[in-house]
Amino acid sequence: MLIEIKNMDKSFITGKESFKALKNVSLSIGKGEIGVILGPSGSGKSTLLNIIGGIDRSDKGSVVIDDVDLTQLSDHQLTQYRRNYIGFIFQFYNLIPNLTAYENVEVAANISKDPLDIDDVLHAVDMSEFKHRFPRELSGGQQQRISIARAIVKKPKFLLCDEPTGALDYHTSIEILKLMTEIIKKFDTTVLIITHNTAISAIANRIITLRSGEVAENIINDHILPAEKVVW
Amino acid sequence: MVINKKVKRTMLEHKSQYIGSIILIIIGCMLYSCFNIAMVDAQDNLQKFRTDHNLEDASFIVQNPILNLQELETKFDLTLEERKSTDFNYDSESVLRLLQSTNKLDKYAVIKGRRLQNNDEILIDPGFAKAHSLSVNDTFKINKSTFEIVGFMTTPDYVYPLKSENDVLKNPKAFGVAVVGKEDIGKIGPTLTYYSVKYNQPNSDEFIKNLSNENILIQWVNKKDNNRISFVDGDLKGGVAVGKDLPIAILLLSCILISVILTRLIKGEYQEIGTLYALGYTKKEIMGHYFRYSLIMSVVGSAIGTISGGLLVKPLLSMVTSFYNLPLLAINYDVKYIIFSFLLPFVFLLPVTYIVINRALKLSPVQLMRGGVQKTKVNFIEKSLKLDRFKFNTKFKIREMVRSLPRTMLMIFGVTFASMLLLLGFATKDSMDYMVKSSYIDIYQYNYQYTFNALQSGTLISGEKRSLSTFTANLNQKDENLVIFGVEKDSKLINLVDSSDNHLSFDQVIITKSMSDKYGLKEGDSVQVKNKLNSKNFTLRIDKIAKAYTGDVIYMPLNDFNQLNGYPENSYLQIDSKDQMNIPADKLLSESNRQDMIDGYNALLMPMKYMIGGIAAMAFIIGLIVIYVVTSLVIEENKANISMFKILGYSNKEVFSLILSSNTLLVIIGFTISVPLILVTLKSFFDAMTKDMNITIPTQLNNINILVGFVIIMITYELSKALNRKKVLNVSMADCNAPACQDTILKILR
Repeated sequence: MLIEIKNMDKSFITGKESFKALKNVSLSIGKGEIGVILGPSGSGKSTLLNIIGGIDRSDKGSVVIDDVDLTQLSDHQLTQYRRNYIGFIFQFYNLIPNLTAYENVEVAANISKDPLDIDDVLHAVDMSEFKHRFPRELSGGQQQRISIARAIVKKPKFLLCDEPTGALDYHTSIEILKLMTEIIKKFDTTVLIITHNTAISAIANRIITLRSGEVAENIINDHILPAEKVVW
Repeated sequence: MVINKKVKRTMLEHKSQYIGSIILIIIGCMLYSCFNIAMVDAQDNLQKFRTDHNLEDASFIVQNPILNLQELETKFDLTLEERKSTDFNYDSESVLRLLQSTNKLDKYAVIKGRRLQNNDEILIDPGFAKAHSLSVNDTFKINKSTFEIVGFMTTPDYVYPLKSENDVLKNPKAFGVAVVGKEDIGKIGPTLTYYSVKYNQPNSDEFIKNLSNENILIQWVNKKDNNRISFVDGDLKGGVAVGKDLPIAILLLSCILISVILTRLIKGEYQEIGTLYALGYTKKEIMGHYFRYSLIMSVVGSAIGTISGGLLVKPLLSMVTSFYNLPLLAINYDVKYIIFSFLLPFVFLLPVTYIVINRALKLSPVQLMRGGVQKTKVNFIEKSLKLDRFKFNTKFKIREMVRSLPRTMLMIFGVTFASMLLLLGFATKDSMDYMVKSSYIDIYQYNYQYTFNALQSGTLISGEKRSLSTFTANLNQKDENLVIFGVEKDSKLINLVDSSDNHLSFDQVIITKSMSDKYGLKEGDSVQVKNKLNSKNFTLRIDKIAKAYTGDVIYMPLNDFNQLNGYPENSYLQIDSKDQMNIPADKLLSESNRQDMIDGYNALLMPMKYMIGGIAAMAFIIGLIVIYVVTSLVIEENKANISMFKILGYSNKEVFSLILSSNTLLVIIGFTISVPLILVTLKSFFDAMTKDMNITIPTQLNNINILVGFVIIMITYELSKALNRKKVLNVSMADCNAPACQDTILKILR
């Protein structure tokens, strides 16, 4: 297994109250799989993704990614982990407004030891002709394509996607999902998507449902659909 | 790194804020390099001039000529030179003092033209030449001889050409000095003989005692008490202080401004920083990126400021040297100040930048991705406000003021600083005005004053008798020099008042306020004095302190003065008169009139008006930058609110009123604070400047000038509001629909 989480807890303190976001979570995802984490708002999806992505830490339990236990890593090692292992795709793209599309991809390529060719990646996400545009000159779908390109350019082992279609309309969402599945295949990446849109789970090998911070369901999907067949 | 490409773009997007900050750094560095290099150069030039041209330690007048100069020089190991001078009425309103050229002491330096080579040649001081449109090679008649101006000159004992060494205000239109050859001085007319001395040993007391025993000393003036010599030191010291304190204050202001801008920039980019973290960027790399903003501002600001400061050194130095009749011997661009000027912004800004960035980077990537820690606490001021009774507009403006305390502090501090700078010019003028008015114009009611070169006796048909002598007194554990005037008891021509403006009669011992302040003397204290001319000792009890701000001076009844000093009864050395008197020139040491004093003051006011204008312009720029930047920060922070107001149907005028006018009270508070602050600051500045001068400058600021200052600051505020209007208009209604806003809405919906 590439991702192996055991008995993980995570709490947040807001004001004087403590809130348990994740309770005794255990799950695993294999290499090359597409995993989807479903759940309503506040179920702990984003928290789980953040911990796997190395931008947050668990309170208890183990989080082993590619034989490395993240809970044992220092801040610096976590940074190196993010740098070398992870590609993030965000709901609101999180592009840097003052950099062009090309430069936004370059931001990730720049810190990678062996990045892909930026033009090739932009071509793969069908954004070559928009590479000199600034994010504000692009549509939501185009911005998400750039975000995917930025995530993929450093050849990450995992692609972590936080509601990647959450800010897009239906048709654009389908296009993005299609692009993601193509890219995943092309670049041989393992993917974890969190979403509250259950329809998206149709493209996944593994579907995990969180409720109130606990794993409510963890199933293997035997009827994987191509992205263009997903309907909601 | 590619992310650094956004630095330039971000700066260009918010160029007004960054350009404003850079201008403040430029002004700070320019003032620092310019004033420090020029003023230190001026001091070095002055020192070199004094050394090379043998400045005297003292000058004196004796009743009988000294015939054993060489003997005295050997006996007391000093340099002594006999000098001659005569006052020539150049025209009906001006006097040109002709000095005999010297060989040993106070040797002249040629500023333009050449040295004296032949008879009938003259060198004049450049200030007098300019005021009377005289050029090199011009000729003019002195009595029966025609003199050719072969150049402009200065002497170390007349760098500030005052008619009397006790005067304060120079007036080149009314008075100037010139040097002629030894053969020429005698043929011009009757001359005054006096002596200059420079010691090699600390034996001045023995020398004076010897002189008093062998001769009658009429006047003794140490260089420290000679305003022609000592005034320049105080003024240059003031210039050095300006060069050290003012730029630091401006850089501090820039520092606060930039830290606020950077804080806002970083807060606005939390999500980007979080993204960069998520992508694997290290803290060091992100820190390096944000440091670039400060570095760029510091490099650009300090480079332009230091270079322009360097370019201004020569004009400033020329202005100083021409104001003080100093030869411009050398301009030395002291590398130390150039390096300091270049590094100062870094020293101030980099630690502040580090603190600001580090504070943001202490947040975890998750917190950054969420736009930082949501503030759940309301600051104590906002919490304690009870605003229910106010209308919405008022409530909104008050909340806006108290929401961001650092921003509010910056606004108040910035306005206070700009107002102080503005009022500095006004307060300086008002203080000088007050000092001259209360120390000269109000006190001296005579129109003419005649000082004799020997004691006179007998009764007068018109005018009032006065006598004077120089004394030493042990004050604050040091032998200090002072002047005591003997004044007729019923004098009408000298009008002294106390601090409550009550008239003081001359049947008592009165000291000046400047003397009281300098030595901490109070009414009832006693001072033991020693006459420098005849070594008589006696003790005086101070009865009153007069509102007079120049000179370490004691006034006492003339009869007592004569008696205590052993002078003949009814003798006197001066006559004060309302009308001009016909006294032979060979009997006089000097002659002055009140109008010269008033003209001198008016002449001095002219450059001061330019100074006030210059300072006001700088204050206007600084005020405009600070108010503009803070107002634009308010707009940036309120983009979503402005957008919402527009969606709700507020007119542009209503939005302007809500957003742009929220700082009005802060501007008023800032200005109000500046008034007492400038008075306190200026007092300590004047005290430091006049420490070694025998004057006190009382700090004054007239209400009318406070009002003018307030109007200028309000105009600055209104202008910055007008400049920011476009920004408010540019806020789109879609700004409320931005991702951050959406995120908030989604969170609320969830």
